[in-house]
Amino acid sequence: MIKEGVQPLDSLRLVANYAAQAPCYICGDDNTYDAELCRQCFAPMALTHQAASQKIRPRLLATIGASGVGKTVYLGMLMDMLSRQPDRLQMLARGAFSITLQQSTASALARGEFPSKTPSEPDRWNWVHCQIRSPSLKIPLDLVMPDLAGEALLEEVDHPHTYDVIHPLLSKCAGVLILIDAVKLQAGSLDQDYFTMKLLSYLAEIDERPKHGWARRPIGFVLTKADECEECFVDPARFAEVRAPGFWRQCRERFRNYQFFASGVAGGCAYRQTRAGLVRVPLRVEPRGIVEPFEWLVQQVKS
Amino acid sequence: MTAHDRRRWVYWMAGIAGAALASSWWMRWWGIVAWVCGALAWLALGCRGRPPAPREDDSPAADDIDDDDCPADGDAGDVESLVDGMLRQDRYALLLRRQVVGNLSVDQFSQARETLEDRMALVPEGQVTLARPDSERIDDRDTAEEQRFVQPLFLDRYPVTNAQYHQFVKAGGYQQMPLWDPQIWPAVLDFVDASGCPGPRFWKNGKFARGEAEHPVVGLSWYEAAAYARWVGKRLPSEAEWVKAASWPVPLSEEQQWQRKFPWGDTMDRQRCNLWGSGPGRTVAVTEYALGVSVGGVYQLIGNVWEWTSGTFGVVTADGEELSLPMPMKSIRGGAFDTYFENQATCQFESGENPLARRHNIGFRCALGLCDVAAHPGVSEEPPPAAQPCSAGVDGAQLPAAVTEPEGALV
Amino acid sequence: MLVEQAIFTSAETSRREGYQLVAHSAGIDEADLRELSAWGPSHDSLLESGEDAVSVNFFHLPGGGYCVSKTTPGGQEYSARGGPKVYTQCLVVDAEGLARFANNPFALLNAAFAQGSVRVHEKIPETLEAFRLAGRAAAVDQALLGQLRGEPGVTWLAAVLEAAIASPALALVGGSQPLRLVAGLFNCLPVECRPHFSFSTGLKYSPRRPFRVLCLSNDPVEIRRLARLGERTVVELGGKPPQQFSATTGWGGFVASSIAAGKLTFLAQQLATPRPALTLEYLQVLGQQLLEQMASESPALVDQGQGNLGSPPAERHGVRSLQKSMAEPPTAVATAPAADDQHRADAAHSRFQRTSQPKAAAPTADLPVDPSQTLGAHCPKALETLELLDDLVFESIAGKPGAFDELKSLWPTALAQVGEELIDESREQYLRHALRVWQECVDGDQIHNPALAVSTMDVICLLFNGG
Repeated sequence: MIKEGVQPLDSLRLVANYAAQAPCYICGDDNTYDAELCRQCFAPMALTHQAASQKIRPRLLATIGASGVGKTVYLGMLMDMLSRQPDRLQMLARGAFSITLQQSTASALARGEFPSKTPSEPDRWNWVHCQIRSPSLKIPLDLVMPDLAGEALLEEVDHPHTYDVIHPLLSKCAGVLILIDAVKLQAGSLDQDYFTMKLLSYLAEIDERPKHGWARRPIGFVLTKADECEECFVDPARFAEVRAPGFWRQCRERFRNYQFFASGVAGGCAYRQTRAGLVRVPLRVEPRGIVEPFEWLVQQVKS
Repeated sequence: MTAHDRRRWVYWMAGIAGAALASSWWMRWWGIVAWVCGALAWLALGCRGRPPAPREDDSPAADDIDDDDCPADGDAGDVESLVDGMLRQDRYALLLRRQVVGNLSVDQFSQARETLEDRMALVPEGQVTLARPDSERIDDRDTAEEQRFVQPLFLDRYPVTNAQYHQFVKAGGYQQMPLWDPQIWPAVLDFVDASGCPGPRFWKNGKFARGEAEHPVVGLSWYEAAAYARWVGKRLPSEAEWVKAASWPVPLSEEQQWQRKFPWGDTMDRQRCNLWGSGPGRTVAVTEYALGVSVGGVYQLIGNVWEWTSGTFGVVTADGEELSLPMPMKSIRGGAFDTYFENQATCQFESGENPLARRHNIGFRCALGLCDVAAHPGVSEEPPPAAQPCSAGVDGAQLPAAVTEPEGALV
Repeated sequence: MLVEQAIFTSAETSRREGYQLVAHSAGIDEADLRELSAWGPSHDSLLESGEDAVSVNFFHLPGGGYCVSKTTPGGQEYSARGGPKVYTQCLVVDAEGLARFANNPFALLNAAFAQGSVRVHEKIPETLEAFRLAGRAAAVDQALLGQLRGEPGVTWLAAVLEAAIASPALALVGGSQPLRLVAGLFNCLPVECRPHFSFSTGLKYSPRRPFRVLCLSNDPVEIRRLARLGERTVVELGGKPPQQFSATTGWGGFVASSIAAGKLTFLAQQLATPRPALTLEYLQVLGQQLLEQMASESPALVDQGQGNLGSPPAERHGVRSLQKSMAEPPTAVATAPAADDQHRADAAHSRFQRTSQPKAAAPTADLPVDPSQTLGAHCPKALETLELLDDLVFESIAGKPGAFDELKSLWPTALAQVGEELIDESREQYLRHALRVWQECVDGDQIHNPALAVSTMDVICLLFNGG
């Protein structure tokens, strides 16, 4: 009797699964079971399926910042470093799609190029779902991190709901790394300061709950390209205070759990004259300060 | 003497030296006047006393060097003590100069020669192939490579260490302006350590961190490296010399030779070098990673620290695309403890850096042309193979007058 | 007429860096500007990589106007990152403006180009002014019609027309001259129907830009991506046209027969004839009517045209039945949705639907309607049966005694009374609920609530087999 019942059950389960709607892990919108991207926010539906099949609720982390600040390089490099040297933190990619960003970044840098600009179209963004293991973590931590386009972020900040993925993502994020171009700050550009202020304001208003809102969630400020202004490595917080007083003050007043870091990937840069024009290229790759901000964030998220 | 006083003093000396140089322009006594300037500066420092070493209790980082072991130039009471002092300072190359060697006793000569052979490796003459940047990406090897002929030379077996560089700092190397390229004199004042004393960037109070005496010195500019090399009677290696020492070409025919990708062979072995992921993530002592030694016996050509060479960083890639640099750069080679990709830590890979940059991962080692090493008149020995004048500093690192005409200093 | 303009490209402006609307004329309202940003192609969006790469794009705006844009490589990225900058100049016109150019975006773009208003600005201007565009365009370019006869050929042209009309989202893959093909497609559509066809001739596929007609190259990566992400009808150009679009009837059949028979003037006349209330829904019917008219006037020519198409002559009985349905076209048109709704070029754009809902209702021609919505008050008994069915299904799943027996007896009745389509819709809802309950009961190999699991399974079995 049991034997007779098994076969129909399985096939029915398949049919039923297919007919069921799968809610997007990011925005919650219903999608068909076989959809690759959420029809609403274009986040990969693989996140939903993995969460369901592995019975986990991955935490969301985001790396955000203006266009050209180095989000792709940072995230790709971080992934590659953690997967190659698991001493401090071990990162295991969940799903092949999670390796694309790491692969494209590392292969571009090894060729002596920076990875291509991230398109604004969210369907072309790379997402990473990974498991973090560390001696300091009792149970492995599942994380989801997208590589967003900077211009999309600012467009959403300026005009909410232009990019349907950003608001739900940042609402659910357990913590963020905000990347700031240290070279531009050093050159006296105020744009980075203004943009970071906008982002902070956006974050603060997304979730204003006193206990669980962004005021208490961890925010890591990463001053990127610090290899080109080494004073940044000495005291990143002081550097930010002097060069970006606006966001520094806002940060102190609105947030309680934040930290400043400096990072660099290229040891030096030059410009290559190509048919398309001058292209900035790294002369060598020697990452500094890449793992530390992430490690801090993971510790904060864990606790 | 405070750092500020020393700065004023150096300004003063630089002014005198500048005036002397100006007059020499008219008189055309380049070597003599340059030497006079150097001597003036040296005497002046001697009169005022050497810059006192920072008090031990001022320095959170202690060094491992006994100050009494390091006589300054001005302490030379006679030739013998001066020679001994120079040997202790690793300035044996100066003693082996043709102009000087006649003043040495046989014992002193032998000691200097032995020290040379102990500290430096001989690189034989021959052809070497230099790859241009990006050559691995294109198929046309003819346009990607460049043949150079290298005269025989000695190359330091180890990168210059903190302890060695400390001798230079203590001896007032930063105040001896003839050691420095004239155009860089204004910048020498900025070559200070974390506490404002002359010295590499990451030192404090003129001293390196405890336990790092045998670590390669880092945090110094190309000019500081060149000045040190002059002080010890050597020079920075050219790119071709560096590549030849590392890849150790073996001639296959008149036009072709086989070169190693790494000093130990053609396959990366991270156990043999201090790169990202294979080491502790910082510099290690120069004697470590013995498995990575080159055929000629040179340590750590790959990994630990990038090394300044005398060459200018290339501006044309193999596929004809121009590399536009934000500033003129000097060539660095070998990769460092934080070099991420294996293909950037090969004998052929070249990177560039602003010669004024004082990076945490760039050090250097010195070279010496075989022709610059003289035989002692009292010792029956084969003369050096290259009798013709030395083309030292192939890429422009000419020895200063103070080093090429040292008689006055030693006799 | 006044043409507003905007530039979407990558630049460092006082507002931000990266891809953005870097400049626009003052006459574009905020909602339209946001829409232009949403559709704006960013880095690496062009299909071709050469300096001559170009894409002409066309879509509807929420303010009621239209955007005709041209995307080209725009020189070097300001940020010195690899790859050329993508530069898009958008021309924004209202419906009247587009109508002056016979609703043909190509004609409008050509006219603007001819007077020097379409160009890549080396230095992005701080302000852009709207410009006046003189002239009009004929409804049909007969020369182009003639060219289409040679390339892609009448058969292919008819197939593309059929596919474009039949599919709310179409991808044309592998055409050697996508720009001319789409221009030809527009040329072969009645003027009133043209605004329905948003299109792009050279941009990579992105669900964020739901063009109705999209041209793609033979790049296997892009084709795979389209297959994975895009719920589109894909027509691969080259070889023989797909069977389902081999048009011998309808609008495609009419156009193809006309061209094949050399009756270009007649075709041009028909294309240019004003039919203000014509909608896509009735285009096929109109095509049949015209085909029949052509056949009655000169049957030999039609047969010749059909012969040239390589297909058998049109099914006479099919033509007649359709002709009957077109006997009173005004009535038919009167029941069609409002013309404003039909003029939307981007019916598939879900975000746009949401934002513009107050202004224009979604067109019924392209969107499927839920069967239950058609039930309404016309069939109260069926509605009652369905409500009873709902109750019994949920009670059976919950394990209420006797409910399942009642359901078993009602189910065949409901099937007969309500009809397969409605039952399918209901079945989907029941299944979803049953699945949720099942998943709560069964966790891996463990069953928490066997009774509930069994009752759920019984219902599922009935829903699938009991009919």
